[in-house]
Amino acid sequence: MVLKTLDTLGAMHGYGIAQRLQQVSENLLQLNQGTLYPALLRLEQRGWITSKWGLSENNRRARYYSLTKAGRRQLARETEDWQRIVGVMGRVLGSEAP
Amino acid sequence: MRPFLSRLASLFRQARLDARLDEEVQFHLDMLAQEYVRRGLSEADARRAARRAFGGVTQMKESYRDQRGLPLVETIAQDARYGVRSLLRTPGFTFAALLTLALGIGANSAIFSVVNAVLIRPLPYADPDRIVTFGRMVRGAQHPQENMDGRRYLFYREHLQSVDALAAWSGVGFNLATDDGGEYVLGRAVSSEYFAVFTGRPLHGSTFTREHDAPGGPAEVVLSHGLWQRQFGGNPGALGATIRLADQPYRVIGVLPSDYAAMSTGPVDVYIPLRPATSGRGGGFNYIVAGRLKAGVTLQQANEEAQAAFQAFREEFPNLIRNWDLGVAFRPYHDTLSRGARPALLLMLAAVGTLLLIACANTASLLLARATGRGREIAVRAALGANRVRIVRQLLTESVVLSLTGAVAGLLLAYWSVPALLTLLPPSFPIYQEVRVDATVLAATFAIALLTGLLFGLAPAVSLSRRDLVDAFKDDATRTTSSRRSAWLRKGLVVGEVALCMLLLIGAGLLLQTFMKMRAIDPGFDVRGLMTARMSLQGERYSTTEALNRYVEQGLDRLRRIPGVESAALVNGLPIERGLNLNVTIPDGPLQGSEKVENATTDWRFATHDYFKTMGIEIVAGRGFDERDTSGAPRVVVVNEEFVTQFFRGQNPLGYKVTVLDTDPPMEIVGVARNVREAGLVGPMVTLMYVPITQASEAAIRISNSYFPVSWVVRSRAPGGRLVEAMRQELRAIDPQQPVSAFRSMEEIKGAQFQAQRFQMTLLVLLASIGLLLAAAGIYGLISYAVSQRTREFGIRLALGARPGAILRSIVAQGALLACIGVALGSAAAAYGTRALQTFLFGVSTNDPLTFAAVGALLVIVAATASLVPAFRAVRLNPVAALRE
Repeated sequence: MVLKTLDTLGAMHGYGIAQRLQQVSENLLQLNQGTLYPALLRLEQRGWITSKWGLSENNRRARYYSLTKAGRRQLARETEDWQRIVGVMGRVLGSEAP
Repeated sequence: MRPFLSRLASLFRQARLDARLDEEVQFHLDMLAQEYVRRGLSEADARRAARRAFGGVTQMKESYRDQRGLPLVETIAQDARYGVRSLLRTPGFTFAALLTLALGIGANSAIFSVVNAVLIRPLPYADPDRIVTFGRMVRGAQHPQENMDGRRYLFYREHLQSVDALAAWSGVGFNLATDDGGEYVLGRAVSSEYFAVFTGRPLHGSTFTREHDAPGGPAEVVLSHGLWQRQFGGNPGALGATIRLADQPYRVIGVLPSDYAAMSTGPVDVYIPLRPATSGRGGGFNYIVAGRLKAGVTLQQANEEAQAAFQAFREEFPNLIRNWDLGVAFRPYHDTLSRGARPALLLMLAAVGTLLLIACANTASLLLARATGRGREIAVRAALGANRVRIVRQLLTESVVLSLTGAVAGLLLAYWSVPALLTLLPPSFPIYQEVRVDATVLAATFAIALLTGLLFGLAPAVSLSRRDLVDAFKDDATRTTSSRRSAWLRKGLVVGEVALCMLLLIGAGLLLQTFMKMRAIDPGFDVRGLMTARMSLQGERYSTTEALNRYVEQGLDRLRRIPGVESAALVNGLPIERGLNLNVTIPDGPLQGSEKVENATTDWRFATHDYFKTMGIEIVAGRGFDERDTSGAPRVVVVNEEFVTQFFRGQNPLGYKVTVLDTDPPMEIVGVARNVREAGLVGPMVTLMYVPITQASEAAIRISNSYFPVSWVVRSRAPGGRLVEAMRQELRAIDPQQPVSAFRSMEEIKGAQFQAQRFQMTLLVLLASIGLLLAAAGIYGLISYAVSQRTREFGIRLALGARPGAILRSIVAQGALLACIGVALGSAAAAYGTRALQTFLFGVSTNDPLTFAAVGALLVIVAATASLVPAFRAVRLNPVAALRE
C-alpha cells in the first residue's frame, strides 16, 4: 500500500503517507500512525524505497520517501499477484452464484 | 542479504539514526496537532489527540530499533559494558582472576606458537602441500626411511610419472676460504630438480640445469643471501666470481633471495651440484629424495605407482633387494619434517592444557565467591523482566570479558617468554620456521579465551541465576541454600584443582628423575676438563699420511704449550658423536665358517698416541699406542671390549691380524680399550677399532676426511674462554686456512645428548610450580571464606573456653582433607595417564611409587600451610567482636 501511495503521489513524507492511507481506506484502517515507521524501515532495508531530507509545505525539515526502480518492479509484481488472486477468487465465488 | 548488511551498517551510526527518527516523529506529531487545531481543538487537546492517533511512541521506537540493528549484538555489547563496570567495582577479585588467566592462557599461547611453527604454518614454497619425500619402506619401521642410494634414485627418477620433478640432495660442509683465513659453512649438494621442488627464484643469476647433473659438469655454486652479504657485501658483481670450498674452486652462478630458506636446523649457505651417480656418495644410502606431485595426482595414487615401480626395480636389480625391503613410498614433506617433534609437542600441549584447566577452576571458584554478594543485583534484574537465559547470557558475557582481558595480558606474557622458550629447546628440535606470535596464534588465543570464559563462567552463572527472588532480598543473603550449594561447588573445584596439579607434579617428578639418571650415565671416560675443537680436513692438502701427520704434530706441539694444558690429542670422531665406520675382516680369528668375521661393520678411528691418556680411556689388556708405532713400523690396532665380545666371543684377541679396505696391509691387535659410549649415551654399544694416525693409509684418510671432521682434544686444568682463544690462535698460526668449526667441551657434548630431557623437565617443573601456586591460592581462598562464615561460631567457642589450638587444627584439617581427596583422585588419574610419558622416561617407571608419594605429601603440606593463615586469623579473634557480628 505504501509502495502504491508513493507510486501514485510521488515522493512523500511519513505524515503524508499516513494521511493518504487513512483517506483512501475511508477510515476503515485505523492503525496507529506510528506503526508506519518500522514498516518504512523494512521497505528501505529491502531497497524498494529510499529516503532523504527535504523541505515540507510549511518550510519544515521532513524526511521524504520515494520509490526506487526495484521498488517499482516489486509493486508491479505484487499488483499482478493480487490481481491473480482476485481473479481466481472471483471465478471461484462467481461460479457458485446462481 | 541486503537487510542484514543494512542492519550491520546501522550499528555504527546509532546516535545519528536515533536523532533522525526523533526528528521525523516530532514532525509527524506536529503536523497531526496542526490538523486537529485546524479542525477546531485547542492547542493542548490537539497535542493529546495527535499522540493518541500516533500510538505509543516508545514502543514504536523499540520495535523500530529492533528492526534496524542486530539486537543480539547490541545486547551483548551492552552486557559487556556492564560487565566491565561490574568487574571494576571489585578490583581485588578482578586482579586475582586476571593474573590467573594471564598465566594459564599465556602459557598456552607460547606453546601454541611453537606448535604453529612446526605443524601448522605452511612451508615457504609454492604449493607446499604438493611436496613429498620419497623413501624406502623397511620391515619394522612405520614410516619410509629417507635415505636412498644413487642407483635407486636414478631408476625412480626415470620411472615415476606421479611427480613433476624428483630431486635428490645430501648435506655437506666445507671450509670456505675467506680473506682472513676460513669459515666453515654448511651446504647442500643438490640435483638439478631441487629448485623446482623447493621453489626458489634466484635474486641474481640462475640455478642448476641438467648439465650440472652430468659427471664432469661445471663446478658452480649458488649462494644463500646471508653468505652473499657476508662474503661479497651484497655486491651483484659476485656473479661469476670464484670461491674455494675445501680448496676446490667453484664459480658463483646464482644468489638466493633473503626469504628463501632450506628446512634445516642450521643455515644452508651454499648449494653445489650433486651429480647423482651410483658411486661415490651415491654408492651408499646418502641421498635424501623429494618431489613435487603432479597436479591432480593424490598421494594414494602416487604410492600405488611407487609400489609398481618398486616391483620393476626388483626385477631389474634382484640382488640389491634385501628381505627387509618392503617397497617405496611417498610422504608429505611437512609430515616428514615434523615427525620427530610430535610426541614432545603433544606433551607440551597436554601440560599447558592442564594448567589452563587449573586456572579455570581457580577463576570459577573466585567467581562463585564473588557471586554471594550479587544476589540482590540479579534479583532486581529478574524482577524487571529478565528471564533466566538473559541473566545467564549477561553473566557469561562478563566472564568472557574477563577471559579476553586475561588473554591480552597472557599474550604479552607469551610474547615475552617465547625467546626464553626457544633457548631452552634442544637444537635438534625440528623448528625450521620462525616461532613468533602471529595471526594464527592470535586467533587461537582468542578462541581459547572465549572457550575458557564460557567454561569457568558457566557454573557460577547457572548457580547465580537459580536464585529464589524472595530469598535474595532477605537480609541474611549469605546464608541461603544456594550459597550452601555454591560452597559445595567450590570445594569440588578445589579438589579438582589439586587433582590436576597432582598430574603436573607427577609428570615433573618423573621427568626430573629421568634427567638426573641420564646425567649420571658414565660414558666410559673422564668427561671433565676436556675441550674439543672440530675441524674439517676435506681437500687435497692433508690427504696423505705424511702431510696429515706433519700438520697434526705441529698443532699438538703448540697446543701442549698452552699454560694449563695437561695433554692433547687428535681423533677423527669423538665419543658419543659417532664417526666413520668401515668393513673389517678377521681372516684367521677364532670365529670361522658361517660366523667368520668378514666385512663386518665396525667403527674406525685414527688417533694420536696420546689419545687414550688425554681422554682417560682405560686400556684393559695389552697396550695403547706409543712411540714404537711410527709409519714404518709393523701395523697395529687397538680394539674396544665390544669388539672382543662380538668378534672373539671373549677370547684373548691380542696377536690376531685384522684387515680393513682391500688396499691396506693387515694390522695386529696389540691392546683392548675400555668400552666408551660411541653412539649416543643410550644407544647400543658398537665395535670400535683405533689405529695410530701415523699408520693410517691414504685411502682411509681420504674417506674419513670427506665425510667426517677431525677433533683436536685438549685436557686442561683451566678450561674456559681463555683456553678456547688460545687454542684458536695456535691452530690458526700453523694454517689460517683451516678454521675451527666448533669449540665444545666434552661436558657440553654429553649434555647435548639429554638436552631434550632437560627441556621437558624444565618446562614441566615450571608449569607444575605455577599450578601448585594456583592450587594453594585456591585452597587459601576457600578456607578463608569458610572461616569468615564461621566467625560467630568460633567467637562462641573461644568465649566458652575452647583452646585455640583445637580450632586451628580443625581448620587446617579441613584444608588438608580436601587436598587428600584431590591427591587420591589425581593419583588414580596419573596411574593411568603417565603411560603416555613412557617414551620420555629413562631409568624410572611410569608408576614410580617414590614420586607419587613425595608429590602427594608435598601437596598435602602445601594445602595445610595455605590453610594455616586463615586459621591463625580465626584463633586470634576477639570473642566479643566476633559475637557482635
